[in-house]
Amino acid sequence: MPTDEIIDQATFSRLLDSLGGDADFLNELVEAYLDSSQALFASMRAAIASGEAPALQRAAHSLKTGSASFGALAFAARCKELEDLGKLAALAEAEARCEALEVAHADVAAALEAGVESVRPAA
Amino acid sequence: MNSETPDPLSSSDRSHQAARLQQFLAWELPPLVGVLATAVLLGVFYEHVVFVALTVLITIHIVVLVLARRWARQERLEIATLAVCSSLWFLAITLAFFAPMVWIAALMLVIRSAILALPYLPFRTLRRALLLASGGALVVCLLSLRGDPYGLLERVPGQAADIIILATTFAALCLDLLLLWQNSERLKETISALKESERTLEERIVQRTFELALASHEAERERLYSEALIQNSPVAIVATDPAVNVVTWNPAAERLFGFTAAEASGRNLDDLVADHPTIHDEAADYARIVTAETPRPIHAITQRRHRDGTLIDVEVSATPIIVGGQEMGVLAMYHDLTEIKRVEEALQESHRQLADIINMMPDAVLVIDREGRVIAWNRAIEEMTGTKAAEMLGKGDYEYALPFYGERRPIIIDLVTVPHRELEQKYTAIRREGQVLFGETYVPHLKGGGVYLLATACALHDVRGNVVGAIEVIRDFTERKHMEEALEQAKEAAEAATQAKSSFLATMSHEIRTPMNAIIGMSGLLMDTPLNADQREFAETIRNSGDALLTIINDILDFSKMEAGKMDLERQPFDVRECVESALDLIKLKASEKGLELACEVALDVPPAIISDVTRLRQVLVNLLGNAVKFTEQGEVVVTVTRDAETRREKDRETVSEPARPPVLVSLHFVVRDTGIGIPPDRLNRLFQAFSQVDASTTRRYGGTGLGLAVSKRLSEMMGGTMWVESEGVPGKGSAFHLTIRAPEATEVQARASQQREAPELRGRSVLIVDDNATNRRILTLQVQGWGMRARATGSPEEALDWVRQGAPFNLAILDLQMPEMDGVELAGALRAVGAGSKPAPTAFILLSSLGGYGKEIPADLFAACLSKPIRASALFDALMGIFARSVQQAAVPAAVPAGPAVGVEMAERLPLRILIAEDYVVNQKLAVRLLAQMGYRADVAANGLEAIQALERQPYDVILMDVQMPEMDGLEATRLICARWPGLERPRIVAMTANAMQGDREMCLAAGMDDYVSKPIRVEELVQALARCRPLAVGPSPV
Repeated sequence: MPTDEIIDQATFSRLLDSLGGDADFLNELVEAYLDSSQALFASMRAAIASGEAPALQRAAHSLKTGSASFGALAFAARCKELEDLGKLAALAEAEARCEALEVAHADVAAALEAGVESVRPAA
Repeated sequence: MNSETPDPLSSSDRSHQAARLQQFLAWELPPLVGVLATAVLLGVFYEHVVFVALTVLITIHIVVLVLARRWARQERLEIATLAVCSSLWFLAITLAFFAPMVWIAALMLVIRSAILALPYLPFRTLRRALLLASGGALVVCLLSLRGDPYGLLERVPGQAADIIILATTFAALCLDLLLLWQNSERLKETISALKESERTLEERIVQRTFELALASHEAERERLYSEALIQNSPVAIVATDPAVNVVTWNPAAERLFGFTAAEASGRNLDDLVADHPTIHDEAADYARIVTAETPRPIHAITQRRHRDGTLIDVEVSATPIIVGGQEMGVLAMYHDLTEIKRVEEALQESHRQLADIINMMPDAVLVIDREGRVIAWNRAIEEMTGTKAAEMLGKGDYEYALPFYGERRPIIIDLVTVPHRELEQKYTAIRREGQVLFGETYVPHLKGGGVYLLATACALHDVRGNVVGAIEVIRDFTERKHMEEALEQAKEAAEAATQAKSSFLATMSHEIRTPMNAIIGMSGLLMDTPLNADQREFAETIRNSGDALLTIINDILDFSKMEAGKMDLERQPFDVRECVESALDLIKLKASEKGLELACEVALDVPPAIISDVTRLRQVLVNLLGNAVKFTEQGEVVVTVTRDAETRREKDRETVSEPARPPVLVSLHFVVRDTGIGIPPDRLNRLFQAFSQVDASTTRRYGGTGLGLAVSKRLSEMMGGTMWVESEGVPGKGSAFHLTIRAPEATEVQARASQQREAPELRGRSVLIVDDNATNRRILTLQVQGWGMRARATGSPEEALDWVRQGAPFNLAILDLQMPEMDGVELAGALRAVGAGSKPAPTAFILLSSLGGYGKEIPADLFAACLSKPIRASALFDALMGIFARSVQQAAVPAAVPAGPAVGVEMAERLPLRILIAEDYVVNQKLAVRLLAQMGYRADVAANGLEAIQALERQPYDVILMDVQMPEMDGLEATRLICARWPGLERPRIVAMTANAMQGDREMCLAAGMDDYVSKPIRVEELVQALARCRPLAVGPSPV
């Protein structure tokens, strides 16, 4: 699997195909993803702080599936690690991962926005 | 005088004397009155003083006599006599003064007084003195007769006075003599009385002699009696002479000392029974004491020697025998103390043992008496408290509480007599069982630390049931307490470990399966790409190894789950035939690779659907089928399903009597029979044990952990049945694995068309079946006959051709592709060729083939249908219906079954569905809604399980796309609730959406009651396929 790319292009284009090439909707979807990601990171931090491992697991899971939908497979894999940490209630370890993940998410966001730009008809 | 001397007169004598005295006085007085009168006359006549004096004297005498008479009457004899005598003497003396002649009268008077007084004078000397005085008086009288010194007589005129006086006195003397004679008469009487008494005495002597003789006889008897007492006495009695030589030796002594009486007689007693150094001196001392000048009796508890030399414990009593003041010897009595001593020793021994037992008891023991004084304080309690028994024994006043509590206070031992009710109210920490009290306590300072003590106490009673004391047993259970705490910690640790293990197992299963799925999936994909032979072989090896590994992992996980008791079975209705067929589907590839025939035969009375766990049943069947294929090199593998007779009877009863009863429990019997290497009979029993195979070589040759059968057997037992195997161990005859399950018959699942007993389109149709495999022929024949068709089957294509050539009419031919003489394609061609002539021939053909490459081109138009083995009844039915229904209606719908799912709004038109999306994540929500919208569906969204249920309550849905991980209520929980609230046909189909698209998750979803699943991220194709499996509900779920 191509892990060196931030966004797996094959997945990304398949998503676009499945949306009937509707780049606007794709844009809407990406925005929804990015908005929700901020909320998810906030709830993950809160979960780590308050020791609620299930909440962490759930949020990481959501972030994982969302990211994977757009082809951010490497990022999704890291989300998966965080999800597993949540499952194991290893919150100390999770805290560091969560911070690293938030940094990495900026790259994903940038790459996705670039991707959406590239497929949107220049209007 | 009377008081000093015995009365010389008896009382009868006295009265007699008194009478005599009175008589004397009666006689005396009248003459005296005469004398007095005379004296008065003389005095008057002579005027002489003598007469005056005489008159006075006589008067006095008369007065005295009158007094004496009175006294005599009163029996005061002595004073009466004395008075008379004195008066007589006085008269005599006075007379002597007057005249010599009167001396004689005076003498007579004295003699008279003597006669009167004699019987009364007690003393001999006095009597003698009286006689002497009388004699003296006589002498004085005789001397006075010589003259008249005083000349008195001369003055008396004449001899007259003398004569009167003499005469009177003489007369008185005569009277006295008369009295004396009378007295002598009395004496005679006395003598005769004496003689009489002498005679009486003699008689009495004779009597006495006789009595004495009698008494001597009595004495003899008494002697014999005493002798018998001695002889029969249980006490040893020995008598000796003064020299301590044995005289008497009774039988008890014989028994005690062993010497007979004859042997002992005459011998020294100490030589006999004290001849032993320890007792010799003591015995000699005793002998000295008892035979000393002033002997003393001896009483002692000591020992004496038996004849055989042993010492006997005895109680000795020895006393001197003294007869008439003379010592005759010694009497010794020996009481045998052996038995008493023995009992005493036994008692002491038992006391000692009891003391030892109490002392050696590992628990601390304390015993007190009635007054609360310590009478036992054993070694363990010494050790526990550090207080020695010597310091404690005999102490009262709660001394025993000091070592424990540092103060004198009642402890549990003091409560044994407290009434039960009071005890319950006041001492809640103490519990009572019968007579025994139990109490636990913590003593903070004992032996330098805190200890937990368990005390048991009860009262001690004597034989009459009175309380004589109490006993308390104290046990230090500090160690146990600590162990319990340690145990509790260990248990917690173990539970934590188990929790960790479960968690580990869950994680591991997931982590292992994920790459496994990748390996299997990717190797499968790889084999679909152009490969050279080597590469293909490598890829196949990867694929097969992956499959094997996944099977092992699944088995291990199942086994762990069962071991942990966490295996739960689903209870959902399912189609039995479909389950068997799907199991066959899974292994038919392998079977066809080995060239094995697969067949399935389900008896007609097997119910269409039962309620059980379809996944697990299929798992067991796949396991059995997989084994069968693995161990069979050639031949066939056949599954048969029958319904056990017993439950059928049950069912009959049910239907006749009570149709409304809950679904019948049916017992289904599955047999998987192969023609493989078989199993030696001696290995059959090991087969179902975990990690056990037929033998080690089998493991090497065929691989596998041996877990599969153990898991299968457990599963069958969980499904209410069992599993066993039959095999003769002969290669080629193979083995038969039997599986039974019991499950309720499901009523709500509609019977599939293929299970209908008859179909009008098929009834009466004639079918030709050509298959070289007999089992297949039989199954096909039975199956089509079940639908009302007529069948004729043969294994030989030639024979089939012959039948047709001979004009046998067939509507249809079902042909096996791979047959030795002629394959199915050739046969079909040949049959059609026959039909091209005038002969009636089958107009339609169905080709049967094993999965995999046909190896040759199959003419597309020749066969109405191609079915792969094993033949699924439903597929066959569909194929047959396709042929005959089309032929009946002629206006058949072109078989425009799309190759792939159509993606477009027309899908919703074709398959209108009300869809609910339960998903919390906005991205997935949007994506799902959008994708569904592209298919023409307008889906509703619920953010979690709770909302999904609320939505269902508002309006019915046909399908719920259910995310598994959601806040508030996750998908699994929501599914369980939905299944519970909307049972059977009312329930919408639930399709799981899960990112963990692994087998375990899928099982979890199915276990929760979900029907299908799609993986996330959502892909259009998957979604379409999942929706294509859905059907609108006939009735919407009624809002609750």
